[in-house]
Amino acid sequence: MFEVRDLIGGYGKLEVIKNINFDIKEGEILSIIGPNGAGKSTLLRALTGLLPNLKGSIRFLGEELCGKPPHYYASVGIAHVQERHRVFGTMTVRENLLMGAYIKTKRQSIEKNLETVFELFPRLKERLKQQAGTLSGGEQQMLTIGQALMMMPRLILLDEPSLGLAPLLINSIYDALMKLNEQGMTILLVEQNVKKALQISQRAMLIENGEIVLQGNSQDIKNNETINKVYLGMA
Amino acid sequence: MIISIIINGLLIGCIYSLIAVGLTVIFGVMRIINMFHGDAVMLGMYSAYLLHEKYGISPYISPIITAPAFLVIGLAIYKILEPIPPKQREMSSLIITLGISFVTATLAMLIWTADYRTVNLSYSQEVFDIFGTRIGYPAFFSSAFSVILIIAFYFFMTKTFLGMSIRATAIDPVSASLFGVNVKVISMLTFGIGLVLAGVAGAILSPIFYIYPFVGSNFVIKAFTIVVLGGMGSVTGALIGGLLLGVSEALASTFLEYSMKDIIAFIIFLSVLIFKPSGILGGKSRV
Repeated sequence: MFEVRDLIGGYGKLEVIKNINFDIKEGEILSIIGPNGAGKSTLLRALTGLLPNLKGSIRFLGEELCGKPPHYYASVGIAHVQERHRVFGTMTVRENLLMGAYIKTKRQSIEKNLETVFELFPRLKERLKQQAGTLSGGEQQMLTIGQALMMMPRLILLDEPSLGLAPLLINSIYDALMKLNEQGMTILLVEQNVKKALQISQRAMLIENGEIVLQGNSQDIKNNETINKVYLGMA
Repeated sequence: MIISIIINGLLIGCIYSLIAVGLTVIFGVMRIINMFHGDAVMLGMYSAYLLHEKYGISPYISPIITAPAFLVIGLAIYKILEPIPPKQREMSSLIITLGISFVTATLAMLIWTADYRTVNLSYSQEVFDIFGTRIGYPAFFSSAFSVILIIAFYFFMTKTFLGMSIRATAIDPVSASLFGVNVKVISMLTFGIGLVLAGVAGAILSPIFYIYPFVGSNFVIKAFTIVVLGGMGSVTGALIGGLLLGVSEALASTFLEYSMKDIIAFIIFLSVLIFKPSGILGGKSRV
């Protein structure tokens, strides 16, 4: 459903991602793993129009998206959950969720979508009137995923959902992602937590220096010798 | 005595707040320091004056007619400012809008001369009593309209999708765009809405202030004081800041000398910048 071809881009003259090619299939979780500074987040930014100098092709359900502005990506059904749980801090939790339903065609189903979000993250319901900036990191992460769900997306791009969270919270976030995937949601997951990422995803790609160096079934990658040594710390 | 001073201060403060609300929203969303804001107030005053003189339209009604013109002026000025890269916005916009401000005020002087003008309503001299304070009807109406508009604007910002997207853009334009907000359009619209508020404020205060071409510089300084006082980008802060400035001016002109009245704004401005640069609301409850 999502095809990326010959994608090259970066900041100014600096090329951060070099010649990226991959597909996302409907209903799968594809994870992107790799070391700090490998270009994982930059790649995600490129995939929703946030990178200014971009060459190549991004096709979503047959439509060419490369070169379109970020707000257009939202309208075709791609949600991008940024890293470090970026919420609108001085707006209430409810207002934050409503922002997810900003696209006009999504506004009829607000109540139904709110129920879906509360089912997944009951804690958000208790905090509806609170300013989002006063939530804990974990709650903010739940909120950003909730916002994405309010968009009723066909595809969710998730940037490091485990970053800076306690292990227990990471588990509950990942449980929620698993549930979403079982209900048919397609997810592209960027993670530094390689173990978690390989556990939840069906397929995975390893990025180093802005290039895909390994691509395949998560199970195979988990058993790959170098991955084991370098990223999972097992001999 | 003291009560009547405070009441009068609050009345004027409401109008100051209305001017500042437009300014604070423009700054909050686009980081544009709009020195033209006072001249929009001036144009609002003149348009209300002219519509009243020529056609007998009340200055409390004429903004309905003139608001679209201010929206257009806002969009035009925004187009001039748009190419400035975000990092240079604050300084460049200050200089450009200051230039536009001088040109506008000078043109106003060429067209309407430097004469002081007043809008004379049939009830201009009539007063009523509250707590032993004599309040002129024009002052009361002007303040009441300002408060109604500020409350309406507050609900617009918190209860409508358009208002929420303006706030979201002010907080984090990148995130807002990922939810489908066209940040460019919203910025342009915000600038237009801010100038409409200034124009409306001008019309509303025309019955109680002298109208002359350079009157805008007076208001822009007060508006900036209020914005700094209330916290940049905060509507609630602008309301509180306006009331505080109105009351402190009223107190200063009574207990000090009348000429001290305008110094108060500068004293508040400097003290806030020195002691609490984030404003009284600390930039926290930004609406």
